Amino acid sequence: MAAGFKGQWERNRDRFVFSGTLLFSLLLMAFHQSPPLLFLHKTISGSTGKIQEWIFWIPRVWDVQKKNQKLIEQLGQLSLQKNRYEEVLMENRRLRHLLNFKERSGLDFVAAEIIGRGTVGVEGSILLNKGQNDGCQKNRALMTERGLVGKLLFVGPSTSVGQLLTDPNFRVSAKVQRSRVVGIVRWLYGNLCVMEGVPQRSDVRVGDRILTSGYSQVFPPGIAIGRIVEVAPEKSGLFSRILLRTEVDFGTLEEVLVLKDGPPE
Amino acid sequence: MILLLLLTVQSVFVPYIALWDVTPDGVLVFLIYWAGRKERTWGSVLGFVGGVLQDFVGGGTLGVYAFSKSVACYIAGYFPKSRVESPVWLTGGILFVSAFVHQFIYCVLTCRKAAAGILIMFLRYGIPSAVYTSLVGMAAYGLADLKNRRRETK
Repeated sequence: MAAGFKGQWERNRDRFVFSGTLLFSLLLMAFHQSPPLLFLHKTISGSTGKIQEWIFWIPRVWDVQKKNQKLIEQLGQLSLQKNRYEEVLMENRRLRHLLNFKERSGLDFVAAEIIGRGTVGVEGSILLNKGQNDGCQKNRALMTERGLVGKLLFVGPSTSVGQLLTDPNFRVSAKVQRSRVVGIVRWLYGNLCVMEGVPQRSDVRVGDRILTSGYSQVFPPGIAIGRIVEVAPEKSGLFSRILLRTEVDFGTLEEVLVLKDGPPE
Repeated sequence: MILLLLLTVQSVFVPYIALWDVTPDGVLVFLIYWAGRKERTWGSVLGFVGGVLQDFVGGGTLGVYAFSKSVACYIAGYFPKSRVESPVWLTGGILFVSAFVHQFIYCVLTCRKAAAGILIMFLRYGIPSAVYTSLVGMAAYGLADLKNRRRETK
């Protein structure tokens, strides 16, 4: 009997073992909800889960690197978007100021965008996106809500070229707002201008506001030009050397108002 | 210990090489390779042990992997033991048959209540996984074969 069983075992050992493994598997499936098996399952999967968690940092580093790359790209895009929004916001603010000024001054303007600047050393000219079709004419004053910018030099059908206050050839008749002293303003360098032709004993002080006098046909009176920053006697002894800082920051200029009213061309 | 390490690798790293949600079964590749170097009886035992470990490590129903891997390794055990030195296509074929059977049993045992049904699940995941497993296995066996040949040459 025993020998027979042993023979059977030897001949069909693999089948017996195979059947045993299947039987055990089926038993596991049948009793997988039993408390001891559940406990064992939880314990083993819990402890191997911890090990997996420790090992998981390896692909996680790779993952983090990839995510970091993506985030950097997104950040770049968002930063660009933010810059664009800020640009729009600032443009909106500037245009609102211009609009307010237009309403307050009672003058008729055309708002123009600066689409180009002079490329020669001293940038005294600007290219505007408005021309004859928009009511622009030669020698019309250019300004912002802050003050005088220059005048129109050439006018095309849809574009025009303006001469800035910072052009070495630009002159404008001006007066001191407080004392009504008159002189000629021309650009010196940077945002500084000089007011010439003011006698030494004239009532001129640092901080005084300088406006267009209105004596020229090009510029209407009362447009702000700048504030006096220095008053000194000229070498000749007859006149004062008056330095003023322009109200307009020419470095950041983006839009201007073209005055529609003015002298005939 | 190797099996536990392999199970960890399987669960942590293998998802990164998933193609259309299909992953190769590295544990099966290893078990069949190992079973091929032992006597036939050992095939099902190794499959069972590996399957049980996979059952306990994973969160699924206990015994499912044990059952399917026992059968897969038993089938693999029917082929010549020297399969490591066999042509790659034969190795891949053996592995594919084993993986196919393994996936079939696994799908039958686990997807009975799947909304898509057993057949769809088997077609969508089972067969692609068997193909992927056999391809990975062929590469792994090829490397092992190369290593063995180098050792023999030395």
